Amino acid sequence: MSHQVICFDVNQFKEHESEPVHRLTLPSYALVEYTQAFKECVLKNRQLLLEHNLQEVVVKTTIVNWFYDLHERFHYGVDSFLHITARKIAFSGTMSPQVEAHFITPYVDIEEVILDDTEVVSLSRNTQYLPFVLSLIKELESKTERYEELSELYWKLEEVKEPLKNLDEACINKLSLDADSALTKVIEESNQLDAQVQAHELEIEQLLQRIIYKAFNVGFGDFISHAESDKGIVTTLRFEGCYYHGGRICFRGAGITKTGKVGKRDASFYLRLMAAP
Amino acid sequence: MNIQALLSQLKKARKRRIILSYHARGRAGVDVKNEEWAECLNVLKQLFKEFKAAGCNILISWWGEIYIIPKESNTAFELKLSYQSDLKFGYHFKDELKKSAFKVLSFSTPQPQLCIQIKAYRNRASWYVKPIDLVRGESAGLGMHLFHEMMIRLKRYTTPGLELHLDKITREDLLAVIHYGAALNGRNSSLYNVSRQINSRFYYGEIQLTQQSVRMKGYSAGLDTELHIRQKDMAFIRKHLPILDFEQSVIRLE
Repeated sequence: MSHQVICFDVNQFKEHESEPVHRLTLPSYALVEYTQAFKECVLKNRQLLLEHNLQEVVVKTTIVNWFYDLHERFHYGVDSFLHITARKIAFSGTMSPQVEAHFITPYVDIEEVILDDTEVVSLSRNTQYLPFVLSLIKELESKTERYEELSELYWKLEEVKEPLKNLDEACINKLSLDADSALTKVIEESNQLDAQVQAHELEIEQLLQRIIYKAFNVGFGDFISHAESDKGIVTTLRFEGCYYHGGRICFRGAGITKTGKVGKRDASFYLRLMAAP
Repeated sequence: MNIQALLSQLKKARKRRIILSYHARGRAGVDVKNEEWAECLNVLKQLFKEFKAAGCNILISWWGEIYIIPKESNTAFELKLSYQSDLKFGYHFKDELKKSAFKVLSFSTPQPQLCIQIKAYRNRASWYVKPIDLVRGESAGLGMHLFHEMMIRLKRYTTPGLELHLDKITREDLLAVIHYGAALNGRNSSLYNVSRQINSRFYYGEIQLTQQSVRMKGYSAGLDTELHIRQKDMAFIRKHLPILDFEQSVIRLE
C-alpha cells in the first residue's frame, strides 16, 4: 500500500548561518506522513492560535522524521517542533548538544500541505451573534471612534508641525530658548500622538480578528465565501486581510477559482455586522 | 573474544557515536533509539551467537562499527542497524525541492523502519537491507540468513576486500571531535576557534596533531596554519579518540 509523505527542504536558522558548526548537523530532508493525526494536529493548534490571538504557536512533535543523505539514514536523536501561524506551517529541530532549534523547513501554506482538503466557510449577515461578540463590537466601535479622533488630531498637528520643523531647521540657534523649547514640545506631542495612533491601529486589528473568529469561526488563511443576495453574486476568497469602517467589515484576499485553487486576482466583500439602525 | 565482551564494547562505543553527527563520512554501527537499545542488544547477541557458530570472527571498533569476517575469507563485512525507508532520492531531487520548498511523495513505508544491513568492506559494494521487527522477535535465524547472503556475495568477488585497520584515526575523526567539542563547549572553548578556521578554509591538506596544537597544511608552506589548543580541550580530544600513544610529539592525519 502506498502512503503519502510530505518531503520538506531544510535550512539553517538565519541567526545560526554564521555558525559553521551548526551546518554540519543539518539534515537533508524532513519527512512527514500525511495522516488524519497530522491534519488534526495542525488544525487544532491553528484553532488555539486564533482563539488567543497569537502570531505563532510552536509545539514539540514526533510526527516529523529527519533524513541525512550523508549517513543515508533517519536520525533518531532530534528534538522536533511544529511551527504554526494563521496561514503557514514549518518544522524545526535541534540536535544534541545544541539546546535551541538550529534548522527549520521553509514555511508553507497550510492549505497546500493538508492536500486540498480545505473547507470553504460561508459567511452570512444573519448570524446570531453571541452577547460576548456584541460587547466586542461595541468595544471595537468605541476604539475606532477614539482612533479617528486621535488620527484627526495627529494630522491637524502635522499641518503645523511640518512648517515648524522647517522653521526650526532654518533658524537653528537663532531663536530664544522659550520659542525653541515650544517647538520641541510640539514635535514631541506629535510623536506621542503618532505612537498612540499606531497602538490603536494594532488593537483594532487584533480586536477585529477576534470578532471575526468568534462570530464566524474563521481566521487568516481560511477559504471564505459570501453571497450578496440582492446582486446574486457569490465571492469566494482566501482570507488575507480585513478592516472595519462605518459598521462594516471588509474581507479581502486572493480569489478562489472555480476549480477550488487560489487565483491571482484579489477579491473582497463587505459585511455589516450589526443591523443598520 | 566472547559475546558479552563484544556487547560491552558496543555499549561503550554508543556514548561516542553522538560525535559521528559531525563526521564528514559517517561510520556504520548501531544507531537506534534509547527505547529500542535493549531489544537491539538481544538481537545482536543472537546474531553474534549464530555468526560464531558459523565460524565467523567478529570485531568491534572504537566507534562501534561491527565487522564480520567469515571463516577462511579475505573480505570483511560491515554490519549496521539503523532506521531506513524505501526512499530513493534522485540526483537532482534536492535542487527541485529548493524551488518548491516541499514535495508530496508516495512510499510503501512512510515511517522509518529499523533495518539490519550488511555490506562487504570493499569499494563500490552495496548494502543488503533487511527490516527487523523487534516486537515480534523474529531474530532467530536472522544470523544464518545474513551469513548465507555473505556467502553469496563472497562467491562473486574475485579479489580480496579492503584491508581492515581497526581503530585507525582518520582526519575526519579528528575533525568530528573538534567540531563536536566546539558545539558542546561553545565560544569559550579553543576548539570553537579551530572548528571555525577549519570550516572557513577552502582547502587543507595534511593535518598534524601535536601536544598543544593542530597544524593544517595549505597549498604552500606560506598557507600552513597552526592553531593552539588549551590543555583542557586537548584532554577532550584525547578522551574521544582511540589514540594509544599520545607520547608521540606529532600525529599525522591524511
